[in-house]
Amino acid sequence: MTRPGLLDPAPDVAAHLRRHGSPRPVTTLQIAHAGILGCGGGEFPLAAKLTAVADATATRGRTPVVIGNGAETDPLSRKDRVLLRTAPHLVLDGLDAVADLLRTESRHLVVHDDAFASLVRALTERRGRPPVALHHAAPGFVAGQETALIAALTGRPAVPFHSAERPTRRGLGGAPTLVVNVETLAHVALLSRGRPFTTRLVSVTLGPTPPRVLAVPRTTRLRELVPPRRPVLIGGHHGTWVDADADAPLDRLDRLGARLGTGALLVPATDVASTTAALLDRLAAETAGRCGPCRLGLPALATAWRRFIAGAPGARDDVRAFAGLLPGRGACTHPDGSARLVASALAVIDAPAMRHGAPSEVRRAS
Amino acid sequence: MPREPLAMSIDFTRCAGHGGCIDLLPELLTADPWGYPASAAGPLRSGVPLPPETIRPAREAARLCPRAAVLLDAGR
Repeated sequence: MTRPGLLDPAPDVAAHLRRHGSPRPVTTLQIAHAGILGCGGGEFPLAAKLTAVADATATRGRTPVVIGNGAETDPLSRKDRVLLRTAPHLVLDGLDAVADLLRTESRHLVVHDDAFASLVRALTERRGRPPVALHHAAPGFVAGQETALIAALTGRPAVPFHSAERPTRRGLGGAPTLVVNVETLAHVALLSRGRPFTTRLVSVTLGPTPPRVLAVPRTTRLRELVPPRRPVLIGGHHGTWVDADADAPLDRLDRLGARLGTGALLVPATDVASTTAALLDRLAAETAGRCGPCRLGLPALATAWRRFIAGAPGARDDVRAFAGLLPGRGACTHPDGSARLVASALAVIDAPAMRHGAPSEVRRAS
Repeated sequence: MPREPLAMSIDFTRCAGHGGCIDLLPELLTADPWGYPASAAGPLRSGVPLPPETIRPAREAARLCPRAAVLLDAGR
């Protein structure tokens, strides 16, 4: 019999406690030991973020803030929505555990409309805890970025802002702020029951069908989830293409020059070139419309890409030039992620045809 | 005595591509096709190091930028 997992349905708090048992307090050391990584794209070690917030709290004497991020703005990722509807108490247990650890009652959770009712209901079932402020996630691809989330919670437009200090040091209302993905919180909740960090949620899109969400062991190989001999986009719109013979366990995708990130896996219906064109069109349409290098640079890149795949002479150089201008020139990493997508697409398109008998793990040049 | 700035960053939410900083720091900055600053020395979002001879023009650029988009950091 398999042990209770992230997506085991728990329609109410009684079912949740029967399935998972009662939580015990967690420490940052336990989280560090368990190796819990952020599941919202960055894969940053949670323990490091907690330490940064705790340090800022100590030096600045301000009570920290915790914000659970269920905004999930990449259309290729559906796992956070499914998690919030299926197991809201796991997410809320994680939020409480992290906030207790940081000794703050300032608890926020941002979710989309389709999970809002589930969270309202779950919150009414929880007694004797500090209240959680539940917020509607704003639409838009960049709205889930840490500073955009914080801006939206203060009534400003949900777009990233520039700051000399990271949110962990100065965020919502100037307080040290921990923005943490809802799946990450669920892993903390499992850890509070003594369960190690051994699973991840993935959203698998094969061809034109909608993403399918699965909870899988972190040691699952890529090709157990997607068909062989097909290129795969790992990590969604800001992810990395890997070629048709690439394979590795999900916790060692670095061998392929990739990161699981949001857990979105796409095997396109068509090919890398035209799929990337569609992704770039969306990325260009979804900028905040503020920072010049991104607002103007992404549409230029998308146009150059379409010219490149149509065979226009010189267009490849334009693609490289526009992509090269993007990293580090904007308030957030929307342009950086777009440049990474293009670089990996070029690498896959340029790769030699699959060699028979080649090693199954292909090292990807960055 | 104020501390010397060690790094320069650009707040691109404020930058409108006036280009004054590019004119003052030609060794450090170039203009992209739309007039916004770019640097080979690193990401302007988080900061590029300022060689000693660029500190005075960098201060000038920060002072003159009409959008207050040039930010100088004394280091961590």
